[in-house]
Amino acid sequence: MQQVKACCMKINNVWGYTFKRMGDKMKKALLLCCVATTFIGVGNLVATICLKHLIDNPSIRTVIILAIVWIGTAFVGILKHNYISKYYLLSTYHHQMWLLQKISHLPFSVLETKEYRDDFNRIKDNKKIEESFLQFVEKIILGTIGVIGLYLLIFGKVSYQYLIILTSSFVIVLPICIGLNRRLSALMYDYWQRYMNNTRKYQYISEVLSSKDYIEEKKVFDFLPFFLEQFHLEFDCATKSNQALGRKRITLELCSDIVVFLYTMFLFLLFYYGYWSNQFTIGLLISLFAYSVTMIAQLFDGIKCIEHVIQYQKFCNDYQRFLQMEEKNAIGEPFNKINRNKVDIQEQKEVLSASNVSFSYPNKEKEILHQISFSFKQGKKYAIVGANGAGKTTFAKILAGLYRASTGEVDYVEQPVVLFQDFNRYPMTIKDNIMLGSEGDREKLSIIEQISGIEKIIKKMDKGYDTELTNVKEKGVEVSGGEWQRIALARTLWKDGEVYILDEPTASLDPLEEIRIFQAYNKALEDKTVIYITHRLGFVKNVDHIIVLEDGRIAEVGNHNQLCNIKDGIYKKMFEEQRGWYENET
Amino acid sequence: MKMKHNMIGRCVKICFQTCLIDSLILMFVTLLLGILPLFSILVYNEMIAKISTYSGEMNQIALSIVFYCIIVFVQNSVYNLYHHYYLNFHSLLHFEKKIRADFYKRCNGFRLQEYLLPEMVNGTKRAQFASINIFRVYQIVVEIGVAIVGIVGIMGIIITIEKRLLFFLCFSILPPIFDTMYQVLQRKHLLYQNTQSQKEAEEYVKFLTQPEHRKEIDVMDSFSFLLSKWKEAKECFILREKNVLKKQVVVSSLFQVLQLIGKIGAYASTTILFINSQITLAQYSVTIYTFTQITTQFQNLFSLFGHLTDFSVMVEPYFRFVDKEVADLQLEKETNDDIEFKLSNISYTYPEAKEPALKNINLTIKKGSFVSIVGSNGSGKTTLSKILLGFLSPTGTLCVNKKENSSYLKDKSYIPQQFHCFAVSIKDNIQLGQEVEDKKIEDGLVQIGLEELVELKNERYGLEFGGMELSGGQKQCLAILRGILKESSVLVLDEPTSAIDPLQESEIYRLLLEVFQGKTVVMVSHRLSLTQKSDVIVVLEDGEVKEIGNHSQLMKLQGEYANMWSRQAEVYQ
Repeated sequence: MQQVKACCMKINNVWGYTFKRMGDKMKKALLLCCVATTFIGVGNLVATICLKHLIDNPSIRTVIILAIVWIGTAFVGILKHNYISKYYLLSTYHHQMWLLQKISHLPFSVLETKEYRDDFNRIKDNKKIEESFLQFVEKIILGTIGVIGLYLLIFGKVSYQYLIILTSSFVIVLPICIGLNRRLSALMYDYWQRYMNNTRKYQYISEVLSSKDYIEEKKVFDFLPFFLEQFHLEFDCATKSNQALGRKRITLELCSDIVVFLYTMFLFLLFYYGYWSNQFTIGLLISLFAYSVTMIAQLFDGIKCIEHVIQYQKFCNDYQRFLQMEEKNAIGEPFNKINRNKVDIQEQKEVLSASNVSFSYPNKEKEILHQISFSFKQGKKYAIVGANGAGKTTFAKILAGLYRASTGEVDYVEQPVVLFQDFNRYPMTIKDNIMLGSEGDREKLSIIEQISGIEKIIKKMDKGYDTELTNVKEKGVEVSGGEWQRIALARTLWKDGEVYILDEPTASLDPLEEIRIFQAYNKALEDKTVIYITHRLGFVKNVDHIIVLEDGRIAEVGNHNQLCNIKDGIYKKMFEEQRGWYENET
Repeated sequence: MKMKHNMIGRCVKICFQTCLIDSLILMFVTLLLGILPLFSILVYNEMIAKISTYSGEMNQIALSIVFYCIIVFVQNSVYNLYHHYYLNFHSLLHFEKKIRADFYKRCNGFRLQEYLLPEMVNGTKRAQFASINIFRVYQIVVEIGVAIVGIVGIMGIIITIEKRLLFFLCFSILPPIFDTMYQVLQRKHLLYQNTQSQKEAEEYVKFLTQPEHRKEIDVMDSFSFLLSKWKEAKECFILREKNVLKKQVVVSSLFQVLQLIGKIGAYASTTILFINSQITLAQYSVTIYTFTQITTQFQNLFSLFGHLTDFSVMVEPYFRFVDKEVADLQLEKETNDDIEFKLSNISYTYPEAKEPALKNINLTIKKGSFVSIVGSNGSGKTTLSKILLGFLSPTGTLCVNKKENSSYLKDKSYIPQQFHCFAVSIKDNIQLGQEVEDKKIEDGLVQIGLEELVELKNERYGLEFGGMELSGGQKQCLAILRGILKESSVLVLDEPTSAIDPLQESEIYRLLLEVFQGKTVVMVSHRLSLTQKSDVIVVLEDGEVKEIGNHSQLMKLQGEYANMWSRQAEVYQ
């Protein structure tokens, strides 16, 4: 009884969730589903009564009534199916949109965690789970109507004791079934959760083994056997837990099958007793046989579906947790806005500043940045250089507001515009790739065209700016790495900002182009603050300030000449080293 | 249509080839499940006959009721055992594992050349997804066969009662056939159209949810724009689905009415027969019982046909993929032992491209020499290196010292521009299936400046699966190490140090120069620093060889190379 109570509580909770979460559309769908199912259930009952009459005193009139009932239920069925299909279509759409909107508010650092990826993987698809939930509701309604119908059919025809026996049989059997299925359902979702996480691993290996991106390495290093083995391992690992659960599940399911079998037999014999003791007519007996088979199937299927309710509840829990994940604003803006009027001692406006910034990745002990303080002034050009792993990219991400510093603060005037080393290659038109949906005048575009060197690309294409890029689109064009880089450069320029952070902006450009781009960029962004992050020291020697990072600390700051005068300085060493390779030996 | 049949036949064949036992079990169980209902009808018939004629004792009748219940129970539990357990947790997984492994082997046969073809775009992903459905197709085929057996059986039972009833039955069967056919056609059309929108939407979701793409979206504030793009793709998809649904409701209602008329006719005529006492009560009730049975059987059959079409559309990409022919690498044997590669009149045009990427390249690369390829963006440098590695099939003659196509890459190593680090351990990342001693790996890590990874070499890379993260430079160092640790006589490098800091770059250059000894090296680079050390420098422009010679020769020439060099050296003055 306790179990039943707990189960009811849970169902109650789920209802609460459903109504809270779903808009009017889900409620409407649920309501319509209930009404239609009730109609179908009643229709079945009427059909059974007709059947009884057909056998006891056959007449064409009964056939006509039967026909009307059938046509009615068939139409309701079609309409319901249609409505529900439409509903799913829209609900998956809305569900995904909510998720995406939520994700848009999540801080970047959360997105990198394993937990986020696992969670997202689990809740990204709502259709299956909603479908089974509605199925459960339907089956329960049909089952309930079935039971009520049974009483209606035999009411007044049987003795008082007969009814008591029938009722007590229900009272005994139902809790047993519910108990069995509840155990089953508790297993299911946890398993599903684990399974989804495990599949992610072998899906990754599948990607490695079949995607175009890895083909070259696959060929040269002949890694098929190695990854194939990994695939078998991960796949077996995923299926093993799966199978163990399958065994548990089938055992419980067989138990409930046996209960259903025994109960069906009991009912059949009970009905036969009713006929034998002349309480039923032959027609009623035959129609009761047919009716009880369907009724039992519906009722016990419904109970079996209890797992869907619990699954649905856990899904809702996951979803709620996802929705309650801390948002950017919840932990405060990653930046503090600088008062624009604040004028520095050197009469120059501060546009971006870091004070005492330290950073370490969540759950990692190692500190990447230690106590960095620096302020960037308007109109100046900066370069951040340093060895690999010195923290350049992390620093840039903090300046860009993607990470929140563990301690210390970053102040800014406006969101810096950043060109990342691994910039995005959107499957859209060139125009959209550059403008990202914003509007702007033709003049600006033509200036950008020249600076970033996309002119050539535009001329080459038949459709100019409206050329679809990447082969995701049907008539999309693939462009080379250098061309992509130019498009990304143009995208950065198009975006208005005070501060531009460019991470290796010329990695895939040829030497002549590289030089040109640096010059053109400095000119175009004359009154803006530009921060270059690069290993190509020759190109940044003309910037106002070079910041040399070493092991997460600022080791040296100054312009080229200042830094070159530091004896044993890191910058000096690096510059000399790089220059050494350009010594003309001839 | 022929293609479709062929495909279904092949699905069945594949199932037998990969999982013979599972396939046979499926066939046996399905047959059992198809025959049991027939048996239960017969038992039911007998039970009702006994009850209605009061023949037999009460015990006997009770026994026949129990017997009937047992049959139904067996039917249910066999179904549950098989479909909810064995099929899902054994057969399908078993099959998936095997077919996927086969699929990857097949993928391995393809070269970059094949992957570049437009029809292959996203082909692998779809094909892989499709491969899993092959077993489903087989299952459906078997189920259809069994359903037909079941229907014939039920018809047989009805004929023994009254032949005329068959006419009404046929009448109630025809409309659903048309209905299913109509829906199948509609769906097929839709499936083709909607995969495109779906693909697009998925692509946008990828951009919006994955951190590697999201960082840019955050700083550029373009989330809402991409979201609107996603909406556009998704709405396009929904609109089409909705239209189909609208048509569907009308058509299926129409056919439903027709079917019901047939069904009612059958009921009415049976009733008339019963009123006129042409059939007994037992026969009458059994007929009505079988009518319900046969309708469900037919609905079942038609939905199976629908599924079959759905699934055969789904498995189609797999066959298209598998049937893709792999062109053999065209290689000529080079007789001169001193020459590693000899290219004569090599041209290459990318599929769908207007201009050729390489035009009439003639080039000889000596064994043990160090060749650099330089040039501006789009001049064909990378294409040339890929041709040397046999990834692409050019026109013209490529003579190589070793001719065996299959082991062509065995003695070659490659450090690509777009290197990858895999989500396996650091050690495995370096080995990638090659046998490399632990000692060598440790030494290599120290030499290349990744001392900190020596201790961690058994750790997994990648935050995605809870491993550790590496910086871009560290990843590239791993790629370089991987390339030089592979036993090879030819080494191809494409911008090997683009993400590495100057000090480490110098170290690596020195290491590379050491490694280059005794190997044929082809290096593609924009950075001319290491290039000057090479024996031959090839300057490409617009897919043609513009200049060729060593550093001092080219500097004297005062051409393109000299220009590039001085511009690049200038910034370091």
